[in-house]
Amino acid sequence: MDPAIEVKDLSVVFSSGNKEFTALDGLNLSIPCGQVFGFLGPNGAGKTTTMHVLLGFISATRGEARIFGTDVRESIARRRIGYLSEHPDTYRFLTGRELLTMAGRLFLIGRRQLASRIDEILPLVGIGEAANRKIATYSRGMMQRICLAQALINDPDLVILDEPTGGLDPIGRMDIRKIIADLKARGKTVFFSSHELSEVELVCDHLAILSKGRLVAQGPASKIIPPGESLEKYFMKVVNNP
Amino acid sequence: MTRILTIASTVWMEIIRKKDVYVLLILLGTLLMALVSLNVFGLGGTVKYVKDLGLLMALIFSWILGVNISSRELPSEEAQGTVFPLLAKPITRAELICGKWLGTWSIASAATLLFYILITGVVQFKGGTFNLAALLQAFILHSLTLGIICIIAIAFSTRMNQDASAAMAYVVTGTAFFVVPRIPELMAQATGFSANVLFLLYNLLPHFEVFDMRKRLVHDFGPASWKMVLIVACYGVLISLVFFLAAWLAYRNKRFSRGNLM
Amino acid sequence: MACIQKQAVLPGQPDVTATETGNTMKQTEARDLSAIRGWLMLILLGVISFSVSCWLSVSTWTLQAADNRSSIAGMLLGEGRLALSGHFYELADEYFHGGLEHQTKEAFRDSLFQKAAGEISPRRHIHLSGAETSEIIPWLRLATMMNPSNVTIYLDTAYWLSSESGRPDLAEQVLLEAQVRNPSSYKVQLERGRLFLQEKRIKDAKQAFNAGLALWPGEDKPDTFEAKDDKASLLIYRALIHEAEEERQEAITCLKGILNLFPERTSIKDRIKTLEEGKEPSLLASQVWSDMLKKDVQTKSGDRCKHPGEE
Repeated sequence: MDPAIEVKDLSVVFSSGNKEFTALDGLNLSIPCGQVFGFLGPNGAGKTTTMHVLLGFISATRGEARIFGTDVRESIARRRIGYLSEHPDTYRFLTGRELLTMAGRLFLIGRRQLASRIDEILPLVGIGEAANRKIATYSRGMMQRICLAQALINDPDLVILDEPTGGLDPIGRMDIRKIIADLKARGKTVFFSSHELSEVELVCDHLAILSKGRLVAQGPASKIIPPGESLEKYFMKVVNNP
Repeated sequence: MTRILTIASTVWMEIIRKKDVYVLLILLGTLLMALVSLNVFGLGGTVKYVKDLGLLMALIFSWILGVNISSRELPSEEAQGTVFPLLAKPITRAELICGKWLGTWSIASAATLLFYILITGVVQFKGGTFNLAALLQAFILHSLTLGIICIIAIAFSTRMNQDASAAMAYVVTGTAFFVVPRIPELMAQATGFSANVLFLLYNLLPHFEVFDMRKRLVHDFGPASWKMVLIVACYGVLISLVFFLAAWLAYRNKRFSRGNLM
Repeated sequence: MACIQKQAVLPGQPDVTATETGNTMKQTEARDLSAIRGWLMLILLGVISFSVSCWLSVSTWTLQAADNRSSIAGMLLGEGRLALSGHFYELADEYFHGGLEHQTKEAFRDSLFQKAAGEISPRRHIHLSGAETSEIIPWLRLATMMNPSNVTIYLDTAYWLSSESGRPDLAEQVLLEAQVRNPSSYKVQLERGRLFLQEKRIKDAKQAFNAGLALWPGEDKPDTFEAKDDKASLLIYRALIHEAEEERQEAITCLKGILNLFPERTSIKDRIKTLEEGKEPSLLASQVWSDMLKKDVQTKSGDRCKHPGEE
């Protein structure tokens, strides 16, 4: 069975005029299906760049990336992906239900199936009657929830979450953890990045730490952190002394 | 095709809810009423000037609407960050451009249809009529013009922000509307560098004058031959494809900034 | 499959979500109210602009002879109104030619675009006639609104109304407005006199020609051919009216005035001689001015088709 995500020698170099900036340098990752994978690193480490390569937003300078065996450059690779961006925003002139309908139609989900799928997802993310209101009336937390709902509309096998708990209150963060746990229980693969190390410790099976475009640590969460040390301490150690 | 239609329907919902079209419709109605109330030295029964100015205003308003709504679609997606969750779905950038174009073109054409209905009503109120076959042909060609205008604005917006792309689209389409039809007259007297420039403009820019049937409608010349309308329509489709190709080439490898989020 | 339910609010904790939702509902209501206010403002603006347009079209008749700069068009558009006036005047000419512009020298004659444009928007040389010519009047009206000091537009309008449209009454009103706007113009008086003669209103015609003679040359230079020719027209019409009223001396004086301008006009010399000898001219005065009026109309009709620069 193909791994959910496979990255081989991935490098991304941005050039601006005569200057070059290496965002990723020879990244190698293999994430099997069904894992909750935490992707950590300080600001500017290359986490979002990695996700953008996986989602086909940018092309790699070198190396390859595959999702369930399909090259990420092909649009069909995204059929089994759900994605929540770092600063979720969406079409505020639509209602929540209209947004999910639009998202579902882009996955070519049939109308009846889509309607029942929407009814299933809305309570999952904690949006009830608000689904019939315009998104412009939503609070920040509700916006995050509806964006998460549209990431799950196609019942994806791989869910990519970029800072899913950023800006949420404790209740919101707990809801996100429960959703991740539920996805794992259903055999989905979750690939997410976060600065909330305490959240990562609670939900992740495996994690990787990126620093300045390079992988500095990778492995099962229970084994990678030395005994007696917290993830935070370990993180600071590997990032400062790669 | 479903994805293209989905994107287009989202554009529809946005524009209808932003009420741009209604403002232009009310403005057109007001201006037409002002025209109808013009005291023509006490002489009645004149209606051609209402047709002429009404159709001119329909052209100008639809032009403004087409450029404005088309130039903001892609830049606003990027600025708001909605382009990321959109392209995270199995939709290609070509489908996205197509969907945006289809949405903006169809709504600009629908607005134009409303303009035409309003003008026809006012003309009939004044005691005049339009030849229906000519009116249909005029609407078809006007709609094709809008298709070209919308894809030009979208093409610029693939690489520029909303204001810059709108400005460039106005310059290009404005030159096509007002300068290109006069180039044959200017070329008869131009020499040297200016002649070369005019020659380039004549061959590079779209020729909107071949889509303009206002004179036929105003002066009751009757419909044009359907063969010529078909030829002009093919030309319109060809020009649109050229600009679509340019838009796709500009957009397919574009790296998006994180917009207003950073 | 585990379902995640929304967390209940714990005792003592404020329902943050409900408060947030309440605030956003209030924001929505405020937005809806402002949208309604916006619509009402727009409708009010539409009603005001419509009323202003009606008032403008009525008030142009009642404006007294005034500085053109005090007109609304002048205040709104400045000197741009002159360009607009010229454009509307050209449109009137275009309408006279059935919507076709004057043909000029052009390149790319055989190009597909020119052929297609010619098919979509035809290019034939036609002239409107009869009641059809009333369609050019709105453009002339707009041209006079933009530039009331352009006497030529008023004169052309009066011509179209009196000849092709068959409305000499409206032509008279146009010339009256022209007189109000341009009180020092002798050309308006000349045209008024011609109109009155056509209507056989001799007394009014006499007054108009007298006024024209008093105002000549106005702002024009007196030594130009056009100014001298206009004065000659004023004098000949006035002379013919004198003749019709048996005022021979006055008629001779007017005719001699023409000779001062154009000494070579032998027909004038002959008529003076006939009048001085006490004889009846072979053509009566009324016959002469009828022929002159017809010739003036024909000359104007012919001038419609002079297209400078046309191929």
